[in-house]
Amino acid sequence: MKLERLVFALLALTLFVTAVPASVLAHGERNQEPFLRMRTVQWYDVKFPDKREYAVNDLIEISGKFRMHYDWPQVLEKPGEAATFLGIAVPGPTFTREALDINGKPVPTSTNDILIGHDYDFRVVMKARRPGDNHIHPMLSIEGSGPIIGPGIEVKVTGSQDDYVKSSQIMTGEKIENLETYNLTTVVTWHAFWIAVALSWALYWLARPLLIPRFIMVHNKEWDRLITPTDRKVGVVLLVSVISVVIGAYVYTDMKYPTTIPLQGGKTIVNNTPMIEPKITVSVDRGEYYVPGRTLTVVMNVTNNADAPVRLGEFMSANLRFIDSSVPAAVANVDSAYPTDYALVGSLKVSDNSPIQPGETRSIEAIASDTAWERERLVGMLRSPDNSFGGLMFFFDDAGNRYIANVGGPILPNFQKSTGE
Amino acid sequence: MAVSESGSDSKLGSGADLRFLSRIFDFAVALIVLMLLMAAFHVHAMLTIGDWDFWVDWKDERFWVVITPVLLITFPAAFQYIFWENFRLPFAATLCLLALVLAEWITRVTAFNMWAYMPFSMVWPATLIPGAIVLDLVLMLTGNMLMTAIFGGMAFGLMFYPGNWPMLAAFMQPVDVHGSLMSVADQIGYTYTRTSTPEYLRIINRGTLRTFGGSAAPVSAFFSAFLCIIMYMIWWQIGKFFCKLITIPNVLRTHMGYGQEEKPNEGDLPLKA
Repeated sequence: MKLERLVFALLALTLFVTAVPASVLAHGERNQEPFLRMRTVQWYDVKFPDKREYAVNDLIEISGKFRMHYDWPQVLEKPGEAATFLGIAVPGPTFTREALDINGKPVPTSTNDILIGHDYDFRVVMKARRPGDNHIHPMLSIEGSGPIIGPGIEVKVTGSQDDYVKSSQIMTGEKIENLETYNLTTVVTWHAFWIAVALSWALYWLARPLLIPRFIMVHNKEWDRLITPTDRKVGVVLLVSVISVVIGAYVYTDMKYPTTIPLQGGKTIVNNTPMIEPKITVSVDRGEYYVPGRTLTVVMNVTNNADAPVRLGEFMSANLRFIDSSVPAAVANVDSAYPTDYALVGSLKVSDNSPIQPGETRSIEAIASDTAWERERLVGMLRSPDNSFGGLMFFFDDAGNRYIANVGGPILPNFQKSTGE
Repeated sequence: MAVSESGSDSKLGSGADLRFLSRIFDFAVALIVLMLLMAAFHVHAMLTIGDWDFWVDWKDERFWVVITPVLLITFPAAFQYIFWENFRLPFAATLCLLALVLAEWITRVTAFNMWAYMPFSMVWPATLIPGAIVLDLVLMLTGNMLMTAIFGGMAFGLMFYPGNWPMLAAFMQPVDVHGSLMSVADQIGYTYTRTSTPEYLRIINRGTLRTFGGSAAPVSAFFSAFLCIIMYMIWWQIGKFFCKLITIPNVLRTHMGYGQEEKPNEGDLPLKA
């Protein structure tokens, strides 16, 4: 009786798991080690579309910038030496890739031109192919480092996958109506043909007594009775036929498709823009993470080499944006379509956020406090063998101009007391 | 207990009954062998060839052409030994490749298309059935392992690329994708997202093979054919090894009441059993 109940429970569980419509709410980015997210690719100024519902065949565009963090983890291969590929993090081909651009140039293949310290504009355009609720993200894959996923949004796709169409144009003029089904008739026909031939040959032998009688005859050395002259004649005919079909089909296909090229595996060249000398420099004195309070405190010296007084408005790390709500330009910098999970307005406090004058160096304490540290599993940085944090600091002047500074350094855990007590 | 020539009754039943039982046994074994091959050979193919056979934009002129026949002549060679030496049956290679392609299509339909939503134009498998039939026929006509290795193995390697070209050629036509030259296969790979498979993971057309401006495929095919000869001989021996009954001497036999004088000849055990 217990066994029956167990079987019933397992069946019910299986039915529940398979019957509930699947939706993907994230792409495992939270499972990536914090040092991967905090000290490699810094995605910023990412623009998402306002719409969250699309039909099959609709286009969705995400654009923005990314900076290759200056303090690239030693354990990872360096971009430039390693190949890099801009892609999209979606559940397989539920969305197809229509365009991938870096610095305004299409990058359909990988590139070796993405360098540490540089900023890049990116744009990904995808086309909805399969209905469902899915998260979509930009993603930069770096050989030896893996995929680094940018911020994402959840979108709903409606319609039917059967309506999806992706056409193309061969350079010799022929139009491909749909890549989904292109040349499938030929593929299936040839497979069916060879399977039929193979089955016929197997059945030719299966039709006669097979194992026991033949085994006995082999051990009695009655080999001539097992392979008869008729078998040999059939064999010769089949041998000549198979070779003739292969050669004939090859020659015919070559005539049918006179213009073919090998698969293209070259790297794309990306136009690098020169690195801009930062007008604001940050030197970290101490980084501390208060575990019970989910708070990162960074004590740092900020030097303002710009022409105008500036205030710290935002600290960005691992796609999380800690924003000081007392800096209007920082709040205004948050796009309305940006996912609220990542834009944490009011989560950044600065010990002395009065404007830092041009030429002034000031020690300030930036306190980024939010449960997002826990939710995004960034607390794992305390268990890392290379215990450091990284990110970008955004400073703003009164005119709304923004200045970006790199920030990073070792981090100390505080398990006991609140910071500043 | 042998079947009597006249078909008269034996202790097991009439000759007709025994022949019927023998055929039932044949088909049961054939079904089991087919299922076994579908599973084992497919796992072997997935683990060794993997992406080169999964995706249309991995089917290149160098690696795919060399690696696929060399790694797929393995099971056919081993099973040819088993089928030929014990039963004089010349369809082992054909059966292996038939099982493989059936298993591959099952996977392509259920896993790649129905589960992972990949279009069939991207994930169709290659076929090696023509080479396998030739391999079987050379063995049947020559009855010689060395001749089969040289001529059959070579044909197996050489026929792979032309045997698949009728399916592949249309995918190797040039297209312009955002100002970059690509083949249709490249464009399919670019368009249909394999999320955690960035483009740089493709191992295609790498190396410094000089072909004087011509196609690399013939050079790769001849190299593959040469390797197939060697591979065939190795796996024939592996088939032979698995046909042997291996016994382990019982080191505790004296403690089990057997005397030293009863030690049997090593070769007697399997045959008498």
